[in-house]
Amino acid sequence: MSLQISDLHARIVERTILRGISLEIRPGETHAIMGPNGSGKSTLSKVLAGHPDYEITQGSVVLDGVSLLEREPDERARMGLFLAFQYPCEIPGVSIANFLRAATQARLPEGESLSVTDFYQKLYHEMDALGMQRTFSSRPLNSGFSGGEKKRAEILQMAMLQPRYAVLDETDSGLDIDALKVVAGGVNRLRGPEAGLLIITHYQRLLDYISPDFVHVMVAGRIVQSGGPELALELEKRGYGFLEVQYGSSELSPLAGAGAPG
Amino acid sequence: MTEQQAIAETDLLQLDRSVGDFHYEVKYAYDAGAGLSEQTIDYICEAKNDPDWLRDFRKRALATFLREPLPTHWASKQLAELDFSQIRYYLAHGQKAGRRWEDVPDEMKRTFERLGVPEQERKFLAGVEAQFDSEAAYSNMKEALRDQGVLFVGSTEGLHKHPEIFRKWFGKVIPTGDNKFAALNSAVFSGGSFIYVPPGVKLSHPLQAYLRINAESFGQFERTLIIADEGSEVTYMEGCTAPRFDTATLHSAVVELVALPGAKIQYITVQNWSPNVFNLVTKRGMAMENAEIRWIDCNIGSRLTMKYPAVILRGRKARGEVLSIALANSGQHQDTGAKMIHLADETTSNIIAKSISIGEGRSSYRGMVKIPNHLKGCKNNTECDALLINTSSRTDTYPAITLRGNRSSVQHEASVSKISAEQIFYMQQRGLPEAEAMSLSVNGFVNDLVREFPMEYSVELKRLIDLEMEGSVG
Amino acid sequence: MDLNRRVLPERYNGGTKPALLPNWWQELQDAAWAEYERLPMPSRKDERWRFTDLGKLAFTGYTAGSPVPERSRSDLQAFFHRGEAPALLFANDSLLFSRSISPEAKKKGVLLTPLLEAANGAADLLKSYLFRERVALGAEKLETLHRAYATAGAFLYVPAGVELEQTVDLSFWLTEEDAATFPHILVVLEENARARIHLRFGSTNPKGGFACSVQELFLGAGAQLEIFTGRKWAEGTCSFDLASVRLDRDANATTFQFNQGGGYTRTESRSRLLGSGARSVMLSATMARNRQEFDQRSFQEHSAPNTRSDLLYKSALYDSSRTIFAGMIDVDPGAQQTDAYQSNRNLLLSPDAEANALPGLEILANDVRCTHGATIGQVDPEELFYCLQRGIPLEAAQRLFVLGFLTDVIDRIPDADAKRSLTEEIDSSVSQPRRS
Repeated sequence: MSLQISDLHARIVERTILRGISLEIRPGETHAIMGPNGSGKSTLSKVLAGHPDYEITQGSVVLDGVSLLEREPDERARMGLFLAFQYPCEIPGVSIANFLRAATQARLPEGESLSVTDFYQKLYHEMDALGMQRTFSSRPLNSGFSGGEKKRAEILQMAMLQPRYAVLDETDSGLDIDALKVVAGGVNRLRGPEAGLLIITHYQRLLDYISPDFVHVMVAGRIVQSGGPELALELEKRGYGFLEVQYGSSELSPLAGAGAPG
Repeated sequence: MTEQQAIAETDLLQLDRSVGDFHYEVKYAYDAGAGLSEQTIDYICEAKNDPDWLRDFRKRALATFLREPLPTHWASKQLAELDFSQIRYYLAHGQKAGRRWEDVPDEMKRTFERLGVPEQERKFLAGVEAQFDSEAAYSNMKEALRDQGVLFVGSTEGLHKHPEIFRKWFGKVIPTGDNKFAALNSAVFSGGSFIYVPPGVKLSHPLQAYLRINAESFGQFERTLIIADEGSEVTYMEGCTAPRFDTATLHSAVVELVALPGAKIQYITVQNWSPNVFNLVTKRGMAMENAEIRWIDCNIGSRLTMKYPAVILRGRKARGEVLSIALANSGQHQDTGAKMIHLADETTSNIIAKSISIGEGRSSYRGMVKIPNHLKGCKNNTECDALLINTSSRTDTYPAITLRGNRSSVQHEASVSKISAEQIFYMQQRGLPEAEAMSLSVNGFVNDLVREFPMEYSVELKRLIDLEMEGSVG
Repeated sequence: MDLNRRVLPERYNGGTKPALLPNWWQELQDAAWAEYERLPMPSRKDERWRFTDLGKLAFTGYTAGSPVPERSRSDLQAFFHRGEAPALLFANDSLLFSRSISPEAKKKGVLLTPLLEAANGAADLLKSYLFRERVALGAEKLETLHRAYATAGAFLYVPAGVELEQTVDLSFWLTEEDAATFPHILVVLEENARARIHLRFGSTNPKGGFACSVQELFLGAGAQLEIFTGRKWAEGTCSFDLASVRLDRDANATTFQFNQGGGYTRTESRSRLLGSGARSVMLSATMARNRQEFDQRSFQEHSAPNTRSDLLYKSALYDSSRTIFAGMIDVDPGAQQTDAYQSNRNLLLSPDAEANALPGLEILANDVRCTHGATIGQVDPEELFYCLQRGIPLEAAQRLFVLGFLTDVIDRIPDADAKRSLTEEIDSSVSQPRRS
């Protein structure tokens, strides 16, 4: 049982971004990936979720023994993979409640239909826990939301859909300290022996509230160092500069060019 | 505004109008007379020594012209005022354009000097062709360009000396039967430019045509064909003027552009026709793979202008753009717009049209955007903004958009407004007279488009707009 | 009904009271028929028919006044018996059911009757309004045809200062595929009167028919009218609905239409803002499927200063469907301080669907605020990915988008009850399983 990423290579149009990522996340574990801008962190999250813009050129991803890469994005989600987007889409005219009902319904076996009462009970319970007004659920999804509201709505969806593996893509960006605490609280509530977490972040800040079991550093499309929580602190002190010199920054590396060998 | 101010401005206005409003008596060696018939065509063919294929082409076009009705069912009823039997279709002094200004006959040279053409040529142009009524009086291009294989000649010279390129594209972008006025042009065309830019050649300075109508009751029918070969780049500018006569003058050009793969053509027009000119022009470009065609168009003056520059986006990733400014004063109708026909995947087009109606002037935007047949990744953006200066000013917007399939998108936005009273008050509070504040505000409205014109033109443009604005306040 | 010849049908077949048309009405019919014969057929050269697939227009092979089979009759009646609202129900132009307005409203002088009854009971009132408006925006020939045939329909009259609280339910059905119907809706609201109407057009047979309706809506100073139209003709139906609302000073109209079904559906909607302070909101949500064509023309006519109009037409297109939106905002000289808005949005969901937009402006006054916009596009791939990532399958995600896209129109309706029921209606039709 794990989300196992092996030697993953991916590119967009003609630019290779992931150059051999290997990582295994077991239920109950929390991993953090840190790295400078442009290192490929966000790409990794989108590739895992199956975004159509990216092409996988090598490697595999296996979720609890089932290969992920040939599946559609919605199948992957129903297999238990959740992505909290860095920039959640605005979907005008579709309320949060209706959206989550559709998502919850999609997870039920064929022919079974959702109990509306149970659904709202759970929804309100989760909203209360996240300190959200109940009227919020009838607002169109993300449309006109502030940055903090969008991130909170992502965490609410995660809580409702209870994924096996959740990838949080820079969920801390654009949050003030209060919002950060609420979001971190929501994430921590999901933690437990059943769920594996992958937290993608640029800064150490979020990790003050969600302490990871493992920290990985990504530079130029590869994981260049792995360690415990102490690694994040060291990075905070030293910055990414020394790693970029050592492993090449994505912008400067001659390997970043089209079709260069990985 | 005080009475004195008003007088001063009226004087200024007249003074300046006379920049284009003058004409010299010219003795024409060739004159096809008034009216249009097969004999007129024969006269033109003989004067120009046309090959037989062209004589046939012209006669077929004449038949089409006579057959097609005036498009008054959708266009202005004013068209009916045109009396085709009163127009003179061909007037020329001679058949050969001078390469040096010294070779240009006196009256014509004086005309172009008064209009500042030789001076502009010295300052910033790569080549100039100056057309006086039906034929070019002067045509020259920088030596270096000639060495690179660039052709910049009149349409007659083009079809005689470079038939292999000319005939391949002539009438292909705009077929004779496209519309009544394209047919008329095809029947009697004379003058205009033929340009060929060889592969990879990028012209750093613009080529310019100056179109001058000098004679009364005259119809000018120049025909321009520009071919930019693979990866080449060219900017072409045209300026137009005519003196003010009592009878209507007709200008009906056909302009065809061909941008082969990766080429870029930029076609810039600044027209300042006198208010008796009917300006009925067909302009269309064809853009192949990765090519780009931009029409930058400024329409001032004329009684009725009908002009809808088009781009046919034939190759993958081709781009088309129309940027247009129209200014309609009392007694004028600017019926302008754009057409974008998408025929390949990932083609994009952009239209920005701004119009200003002053007094009882009327400006109309007419557009067509078509994305047919399961294309993917195509995009069009259209933005039309109209500014109405006086209570009796008029504006219309008539776009037509068709999109088929779920992999492309079109967006059209239009707005109509007047000059903000708040803005004027703000400027007045800073000490500007109302008229100046209005001019400034109008210039601000079109500023983003004016910036797209070469600097020399944009200065001129601002001045023209200021002049048109005078007398509109109060 | 063979439209080259005039055959006066048996108008009151099947159940309704036979009544003779008064002379003045017969004269109107005769004049209309003469005009009908004189007018040309819609043609491609006419700008007002631009983009219309004229091949989909079918005028022949229909019979006016077809009998209503017993089964359809009882089904329809059963459906309407359940309600409580004042109602008039017609099928194939025969009156099948009516429920009158409340006694209190009657006492205040409110009138709701079938047109034919009004011709006897309230002849003078009817005469001064019936067929007075020239409604069409291109379909003049169809309008004259309507005038030559129309006898079925409703007359609603609300006297000055009276607010009709009950929503009026009007519905018109076609039961046979060769049946024709010519519904006429005549509404007169005097000064400061108020009314709300729910208008339904539909078929009980799955195949076709012909419908040509006209709505004449007169709003006195300060009057308020809301009309919600649900249109769901059978697949092959050729239909025209021509509506004109006249608004006097400070009058306020909201019209909303939800369109689905049919073969060729043309709507012509005219708002005539004749008095200062008048306001008209024109809303439409269309769900086009299969080979259906929805051809919508609109006209916002600002004839007085300080008037407002606000139009939003949205269409979601599946399969090989087509839509045409041709709108015009007209601001007369002197109609200063006009505030006019016109927006047409199309969502294409299939590679064969086609949307055409002709949003127009003709502005002859300068102190105005007029904007219009048209968009034609597809579901944003990033939004789609977002939904998929939440585990929602492609088709369900698409339904969600369509629902969100169309309910946006409903948000402009002020009345909360109407909003809820319309949302449910759209919801259920978006969710219905696809046939093709």
